[in-house]
Amino acid sequence: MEIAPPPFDLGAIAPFLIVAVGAMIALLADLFIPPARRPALGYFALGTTLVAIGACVWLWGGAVPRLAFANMIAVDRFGLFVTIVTLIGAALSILLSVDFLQEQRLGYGEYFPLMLFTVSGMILLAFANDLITFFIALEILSLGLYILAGSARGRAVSQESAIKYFLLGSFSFGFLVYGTSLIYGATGTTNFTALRVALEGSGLTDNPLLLAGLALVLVGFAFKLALAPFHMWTPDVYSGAPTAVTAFMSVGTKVATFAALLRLVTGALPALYADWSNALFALAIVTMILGNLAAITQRNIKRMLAYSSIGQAGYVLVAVVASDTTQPGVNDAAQSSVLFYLLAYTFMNLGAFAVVVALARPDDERLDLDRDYAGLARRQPLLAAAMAVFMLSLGGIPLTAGFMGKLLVFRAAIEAGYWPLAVVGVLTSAVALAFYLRVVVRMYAGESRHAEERPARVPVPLAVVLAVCLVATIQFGILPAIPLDAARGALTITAP
Amino acid sequence: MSGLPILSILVFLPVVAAILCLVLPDRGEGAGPARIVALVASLVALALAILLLIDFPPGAQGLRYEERASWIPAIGASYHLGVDGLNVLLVFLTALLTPVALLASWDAMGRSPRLFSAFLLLLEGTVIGALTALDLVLYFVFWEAMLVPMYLLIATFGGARRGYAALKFFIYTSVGSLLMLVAILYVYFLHSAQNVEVAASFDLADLLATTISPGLQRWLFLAFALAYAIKLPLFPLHTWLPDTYTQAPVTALILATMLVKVGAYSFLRFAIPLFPQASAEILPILAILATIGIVYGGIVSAAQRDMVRLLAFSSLAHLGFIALGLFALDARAIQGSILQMVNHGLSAGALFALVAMIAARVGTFDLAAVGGLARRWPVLTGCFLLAAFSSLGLPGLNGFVGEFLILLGAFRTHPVLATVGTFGVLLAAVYMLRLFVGAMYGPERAPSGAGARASRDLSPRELAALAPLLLLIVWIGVYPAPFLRRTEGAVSQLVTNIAAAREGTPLTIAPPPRDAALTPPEHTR
Amino acid sequence: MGELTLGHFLTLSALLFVIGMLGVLTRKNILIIFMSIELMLNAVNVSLIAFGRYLDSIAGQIFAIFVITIAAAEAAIGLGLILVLTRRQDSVDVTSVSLLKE
Repeated sequence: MEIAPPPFDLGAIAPFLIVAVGAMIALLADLFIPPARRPALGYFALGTTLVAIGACVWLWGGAVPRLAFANMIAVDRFGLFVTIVTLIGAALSILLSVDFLQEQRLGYGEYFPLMLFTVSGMILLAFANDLITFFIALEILSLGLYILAGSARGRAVSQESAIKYFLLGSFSFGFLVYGTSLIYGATGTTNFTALRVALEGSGLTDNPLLLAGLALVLVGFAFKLALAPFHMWTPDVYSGAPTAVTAFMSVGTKVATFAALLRLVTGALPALYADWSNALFALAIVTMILGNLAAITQRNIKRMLAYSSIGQAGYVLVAVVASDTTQPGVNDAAQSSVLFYLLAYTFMNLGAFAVVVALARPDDERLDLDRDYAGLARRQPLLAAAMAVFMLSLGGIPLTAGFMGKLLVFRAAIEAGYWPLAVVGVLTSAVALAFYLRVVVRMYAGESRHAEERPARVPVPLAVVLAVCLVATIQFGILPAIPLDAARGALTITAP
Repeated sequence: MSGLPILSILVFLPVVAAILCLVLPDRGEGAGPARIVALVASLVALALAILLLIDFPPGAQGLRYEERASWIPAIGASYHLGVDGLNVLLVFLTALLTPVALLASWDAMGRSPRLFSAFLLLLEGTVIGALTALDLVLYFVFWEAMLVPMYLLIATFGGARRGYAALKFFIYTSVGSLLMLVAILYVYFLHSAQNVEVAASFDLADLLATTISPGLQRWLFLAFALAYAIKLPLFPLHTWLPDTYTQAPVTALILATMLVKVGAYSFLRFAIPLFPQASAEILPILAILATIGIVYGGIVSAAQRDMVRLLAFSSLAHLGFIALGLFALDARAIQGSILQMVNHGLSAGALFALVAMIAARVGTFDLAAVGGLARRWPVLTGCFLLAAFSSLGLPGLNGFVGEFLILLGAFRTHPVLATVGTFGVLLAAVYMLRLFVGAMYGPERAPSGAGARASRDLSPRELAALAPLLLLIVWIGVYPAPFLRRTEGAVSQLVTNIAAAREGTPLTIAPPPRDAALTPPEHTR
Repeated sequence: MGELTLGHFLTLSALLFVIGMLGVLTRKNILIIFMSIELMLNAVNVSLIAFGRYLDSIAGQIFAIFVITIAAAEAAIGLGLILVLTRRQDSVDVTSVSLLKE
């Protein structure tokens, strides 16, 4: 049997290569740089992500879609859009980390190289057009995050977070791989495009192996995306990991994994729409309800944001459910709303975490909502105002990106006929207001417990993150046409 | 002034000024340049609103000063503002109440005058936006956004339980709105399914042309009505109102009364025209709730010791009147309701301002702790008398005209409810006189220690705040025609269209289809 | 006893997977949990190779090799994390890892 090596098209995977090579350079440079100069690595990592964004823009303007490496990689605008969002999230997270690591005395270690490796996994995930590439990408992403979650070596909670994340991550990986193996067994192919062709009009769609495979893959995704009832690990992992890592985790992972889910179900398995949409329908309802209800009782801001991110994932899922490729108009609206929501979520969630990072003190992370956030508006009016905007946006109040995201998602759901999802969505958003607004109430109406101390100095990189997130959150809420048009322009999941 | 985007200026001038206020420094309590910026901006807005009102032709039908621009083309949402007889008075009222609220709270802005002025201006901008928006997404954006400055005002400057009150206010009033959003989307998709050849649109004029089956109308109307009934508030959904009003800074309430009027106005602009059959079915039931609100608000108000709480429940009763007039679906009653919205803005605005002025002098809102103020402050007492009489509907003042028209119209459609409502007028006399007599006459009782200010009557600034309100109270009472004439055209058009829709003929409240516009419809006179 | 069919392999694979899954869900010792996860992955390998043989395609074996590689990488990281944890608290019992419960 002769195996012809597939042609190399390195240009197609330029963003991935840039980030991966950048990670290796950073890893090597780490050996030669004196500890005091380590922050420079952060700026190098930032530069790497910016160059990668440039590469994405270059590819966007070029000939797309572009299949590479024997169709295992599909470089299309959908993937590029997601990659850009991921890279923006990564760039902001890196800026967030530079001073945070120093302040918290976490040591730089392999922090930035690992972050870049993780990002390279996310990029690969966005372009994966084959079950094998898909799970390799997912593992690259996860392995880096396991270590990052435990990167506060001196802290027991961080260790615990890493172990939990690792065990649950590997466990869910088992489901994913088993599911993909069954799908492969049923259809004889691992390629998304080939899968779609094989399933079209075949009698395979009620093959028990295939359906079992689909179910297992969805369970795996549910774990990775922290969809209820597979979300139990999230609050522990999110609150235990260093805040900057949590911020990155909550944004980048979700964006890339949602993109992979969307590509798998609509690019490879549209023939099984009835099956996966029903399963995701149920998951979306449970996730929206459980995530938002559980967040109400939280007093620790990181745990609250963890549950909030579960709820937010539920809203994205609503639009995924509505992605019915047999109705192009509906599908376009649904998928563009997924992309828009992920973009909006990146900015508002990172912004919220940036405020948490800004408040942290070396001796005390300042995470208690009642104690540390009360009266913040008086001590640090700008930080409080920024946090208020992010909370209102996460809560879906108009004039913010979060509202536009929800509007588009619910619009897509109703258009596809899933009005129960939209109703549950709006009702849970109302519930969610309770805990998002409680933060605002604490900040504006509470009595400060730290009134005597000097306000925390906000380092320049962090201020940049806050400003970018703030501007984007408001801008996308008032004039969403530009990102929305970009999202609509990205709706060509490769299907040649 | 035809070329001037006057409505956009009215919306965005306060917002820009608010942002400016936010960056100006605070110079400690009751100082700093922010208040002056805010006052100037609000006065400019008021001048524009007066121009708008004068320029608006009496009896005019149809929309004026329309502004359209593309906003989110991908989903068919546009930036579309306009005024007609239904909202022109309310826009003017909002613009009037903002400088009044600023003047009345001039040195009561707590720790941070710049935040206080900025929030008030944001409230003005978003309320005017919600009043003039004619695209449903735009409208919803303003509708929800106006909660934010109010919420922040309560949370930052409110009373002891401000956190709880702010949260309750926000959640209560936004829960209903969210279902309205789903209903808006539903109508939008019905419209785009029925008009495949045109692009999908959230524009009210387009959506009004949608045919909706009566069964579906019922659900959609309920989703809208829930949002408005909470905001208004109608009787069993009113519990947020007393908490909010007692915890909010009193002088902010002068403008905050506009929030509830947006709810009342929205019935006329959106819910009733979009779902005429369903509103014909359901409004009589809501009218019963409105009447219960009149009586309940009156009785509870009469039992209050706290002056602000008393005024809060009296507002509930007044809003019941306004709702009763709207739900009667009679041209005269609706005109009365719109006028009564203005009247309530004037009288409640003046009363809240006066109570705040009294409290600033005696340091309490407790009615039992004050008395005999008339001898000390005769000018204040005179102003209070006028506002109280306006509120209780004394003939010759504005409240009488509104209530009279409402009852007159309501008698035709709901005679029993109108009769019950009449008792509300009597109750109003009870609680208003109790407030007035209790505070102003009787043995002189005023907690001392309020300092030098305690001895002074109204200052020129306070008079300047009250004067426009009192002037209008008398003017509308004596000569309401200029105001009524401006609402006439739009209201008669609305009522005709609803009657036509109930009989099954298609609605023509929207501009008729483009080519059909050339031939006049048969049923126009 | 007939010859071995795909069904036999799949049954074996499913059984191993379920055993692994139950191990993860019921055991307290982190090392055992970790080994159970490895068992799940190897169960997948059995099915992949059986499919590859049955479908006469090489992809199944390639797939399996990748899974083995990834399992090895996971083992390296997992054991590293467990090592750090045991140094700190001298126990590999998951119930002792409960600082984050609220």
